[in-house]
Amino acid sequence: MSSSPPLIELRNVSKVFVNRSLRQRSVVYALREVSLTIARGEVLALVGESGSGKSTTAQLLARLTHPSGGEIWFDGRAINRQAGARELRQYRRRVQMIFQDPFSSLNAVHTVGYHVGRPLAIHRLVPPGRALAAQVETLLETVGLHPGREFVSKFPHQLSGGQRQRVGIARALAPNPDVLIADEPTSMLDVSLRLDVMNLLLDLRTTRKVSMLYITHDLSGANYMADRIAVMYRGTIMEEAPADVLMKDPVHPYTRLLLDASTADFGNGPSVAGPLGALDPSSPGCPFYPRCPSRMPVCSETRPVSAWIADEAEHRVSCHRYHDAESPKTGRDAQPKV
Amino acid sequence: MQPVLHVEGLWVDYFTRGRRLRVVQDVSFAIERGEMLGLAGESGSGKSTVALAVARLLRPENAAVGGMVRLNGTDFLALVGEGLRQTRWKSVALVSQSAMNALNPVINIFRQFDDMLTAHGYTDAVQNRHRAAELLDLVDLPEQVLNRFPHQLSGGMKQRVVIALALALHPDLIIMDEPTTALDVIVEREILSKVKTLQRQLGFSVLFITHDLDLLLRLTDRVAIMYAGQLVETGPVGHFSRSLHPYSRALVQSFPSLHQHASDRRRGIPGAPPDLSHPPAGCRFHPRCVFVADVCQTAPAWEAVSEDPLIAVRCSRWKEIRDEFVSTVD
Repeated sequence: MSSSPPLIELRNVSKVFVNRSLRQRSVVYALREVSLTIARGEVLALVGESGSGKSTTAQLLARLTHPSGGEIWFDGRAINRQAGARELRQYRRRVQMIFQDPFSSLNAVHTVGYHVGRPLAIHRLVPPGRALAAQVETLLETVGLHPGREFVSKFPHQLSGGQRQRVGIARALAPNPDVLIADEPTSMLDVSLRLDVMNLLLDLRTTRKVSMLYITHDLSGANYMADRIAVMYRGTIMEEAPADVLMKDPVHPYTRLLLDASTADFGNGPSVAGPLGALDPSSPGCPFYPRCPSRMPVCSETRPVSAWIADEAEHRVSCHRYHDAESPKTGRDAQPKV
Repeated sequence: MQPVLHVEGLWVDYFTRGRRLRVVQDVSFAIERGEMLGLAGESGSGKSTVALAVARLLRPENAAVGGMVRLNGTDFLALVGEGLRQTRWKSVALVSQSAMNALNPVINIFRQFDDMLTAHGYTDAVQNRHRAAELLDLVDLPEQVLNRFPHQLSGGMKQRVVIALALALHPDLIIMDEPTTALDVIVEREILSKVKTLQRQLGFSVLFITHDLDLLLRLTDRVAIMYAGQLVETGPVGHFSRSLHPYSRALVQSFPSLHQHASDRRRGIPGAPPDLSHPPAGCRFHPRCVFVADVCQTAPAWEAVSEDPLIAVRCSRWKEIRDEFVSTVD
């Protein structure tokens, strides 16, 4: 529900992984009916803990895996499984991924120049030879590796973690994408280097008008980077709002706990109601029910739907405290007591 | 009163590929009874090596350790053999970074307690079971967990078990090396709140090591910051809002705060931490420092700014930096 039409969109996307062993077959819902939109030039942060499904979302958008249900739309068209090779190549040119681990995402036997030049060659964007070399140098300087010429012939092991991640960013930028998917791009970097990589991504967003899905487990990083934040828990979007609204006025009990855990002192304050046990995938209720400090009987029985909060722009929440099945009351008066 | 842990001039050399590499140099700090000291630094700064050296877990064939480490007044570096084995766990326990993997996967939780208690002379299995159940209760785990195997527990539960194990012999000092890095923030908060409560209840001291300075400033009583194998600044938590070392200042600044949007742009620290086989001459931070001057070509001393509370800093220009603070506040 952004003001401008979405450039890329997940519509009710689900992803199911099936574990088959000799005796049993178990099903894991990595994503359940997830809907997200990103407008042109917009940064959406997806926040969640490990196992929440945020990396699965990234893989779906990068077309590294297929949705089990729902659709992915890009630039006004559904990108479905039957997409032809040409269409898929085009999509992959325009939607690029930055990986979490700058150590394993570069091939140790290839130079920096090879990594950054490859996408240019694959997508036939620049003729091989001097033009390609020049373009690679320009890209390296765009991501802050000066002078580009000196980095071209280096191997990954000759670079620091921060420099490697910049090579990863240059590689993603090479085909001049419209969307960047950044999956925890700073979590493996030294703390003193993180902010500069974040600032680089923000600069690229301004200069190149790229859209970005910024995936993180860190709310303050999300707030620093993003226009909007979506909070994910166990494959479900629990709450989504403009960044400042979410930080100032979170309504979902899970978001509140997350915020609280990142700010409050230790040894006091509210805590979760229950341990993080294994969730029964057939459980009909809210995925946060076992840990929720403000749960109600209905929460174990039916899954709350994600719905927009009345009188608030672009703020939606998936919680029975807001969307009572019987009498739909939404807004301030339905505020849960946490 | 005598501090529980007193470290003075600690150094550690690693033997690597036929070379000797100094990874920790001139580290001095003390931890009082019941106090929690946070040790912060980036990866490779030597903070985990300090933990291993203080716990005497570095093998002599891999590393040389020198300087002074006193535990309750006794020279801990001089202990060998049975004396060392008995002191470990009883006086100092370690909760390591890989606590998830610190449990033996093929024995149940009770056996993990029983093995350790037996090794320290508690051989009555019935009493050990009772003691293990008590310890689990301290960290809010039910007795049934004793019959489980590590793979049947969640990461947070395993971490609680490891903390319960560390508490078993009433240690004076628990060293926690990034104990919650692999856990999500809500579980982290729960476990660290528990540690704080237990600390008040039982009175042990904690050396808490992490790269997450923001966490330390909320959790601990005092903080020490390491850079390239050396301590650069120490002081009570409140001191770090006006810290005197340019590196600590930059480190505090380098996390966006929770309510800060990019419209209020912050800068990271330029450059990268040095390679310890060729540390920069003089101050080790000077190539990345915004306050760099000629004097920084000479290695700065570890200098006390105040004795009570103890504030110490390793920067030749700390007085100028402090005066600048005063003038900006006025």
